[in-house]
Amino acid sequence: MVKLQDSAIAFSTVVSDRRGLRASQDAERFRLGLHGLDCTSNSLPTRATAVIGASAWALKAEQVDHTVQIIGRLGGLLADLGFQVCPVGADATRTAPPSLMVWVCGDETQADEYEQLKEIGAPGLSIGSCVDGLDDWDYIETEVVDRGDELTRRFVDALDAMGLLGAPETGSDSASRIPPEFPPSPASGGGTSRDQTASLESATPGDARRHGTRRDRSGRGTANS
Amino acid sequence: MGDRAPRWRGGGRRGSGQARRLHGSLNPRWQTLLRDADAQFVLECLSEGREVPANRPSGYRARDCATINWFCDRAADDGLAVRSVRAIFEEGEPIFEASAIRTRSHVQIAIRDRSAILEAEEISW
Repeated sequence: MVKLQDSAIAFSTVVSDRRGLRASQDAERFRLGLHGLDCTSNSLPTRATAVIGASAWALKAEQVDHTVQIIGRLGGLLADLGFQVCPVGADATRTAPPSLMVWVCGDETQADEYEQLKEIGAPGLSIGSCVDGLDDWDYIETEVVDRGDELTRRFVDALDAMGLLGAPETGSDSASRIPPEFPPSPASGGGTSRDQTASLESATPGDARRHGTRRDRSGRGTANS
Repeated sequence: MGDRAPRWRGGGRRGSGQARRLHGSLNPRWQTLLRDADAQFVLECLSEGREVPANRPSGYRARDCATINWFCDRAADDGLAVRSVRAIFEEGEPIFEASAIRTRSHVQIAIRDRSAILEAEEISW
């Protein structure tokens, strides 16, 4: 019998090694207060823009590897949903408020970061319940990040709840704003995938109840009050 | 291959190369690697101010392609050659109700190293 070796094993560290080498450097673009990157020069100016940033806490050496993975996943998802995606260090954020601000913060948002997020004046979604009191902001719990595809489902659901999916698009390819894996909800005449999403969320006690709601987050270690 | 060369245009004949040692994305380990590769590729696009390619529902899979090319290039930097790539793309409508077979499902194979082709056969239908 010929035993075939899994060809993927030899490649298993290609990405992780590269991420480890570059994480700190790449992450700097997602820190508030830094500018100088033009990310919109090659795109249609009419596309909805999503900006991704990360808190100083999430960019600490202990967390940065995990943080850049989250940024990469969500950035790709936003691109597939039709957004022009920019890091918060891009100059685009200085000229007009983006359509969406995504904030990867883990356990902490500093007071000065909170003020800057407020100044940006865009609806936002935080990964980690660390931004409280900003209008039009929602959050996804940090624990969800490591639950495989649940982050994707929750992220798309949150954007949908914020009215950012399926909205009239001024740019091209508006159909791309609703990915095929996530058809419209049953309430709007859609199919079954949303039902599956709901049941998966309900499988974890409390998740379905918490989703899409704003609970009292005082005393959760934030520095924004 | 002479007269047996596949004729892709006209005549309605199709050909296929038979390759060995395919690095198929059917393998769950490859799927995990490519998912990580996509996140890293997107991160680098963003941090360098480059547009992130997007997959489109129409079947135009710009990021699938860009991510796989990116991964192959990074692997080559580490001295690891990807000789071929194979992936299944499920597209179109189910051929009948509840079927997992879709009207436009297909397998894409990219041979990056021609020495991976050990034999060529012509298929007609």
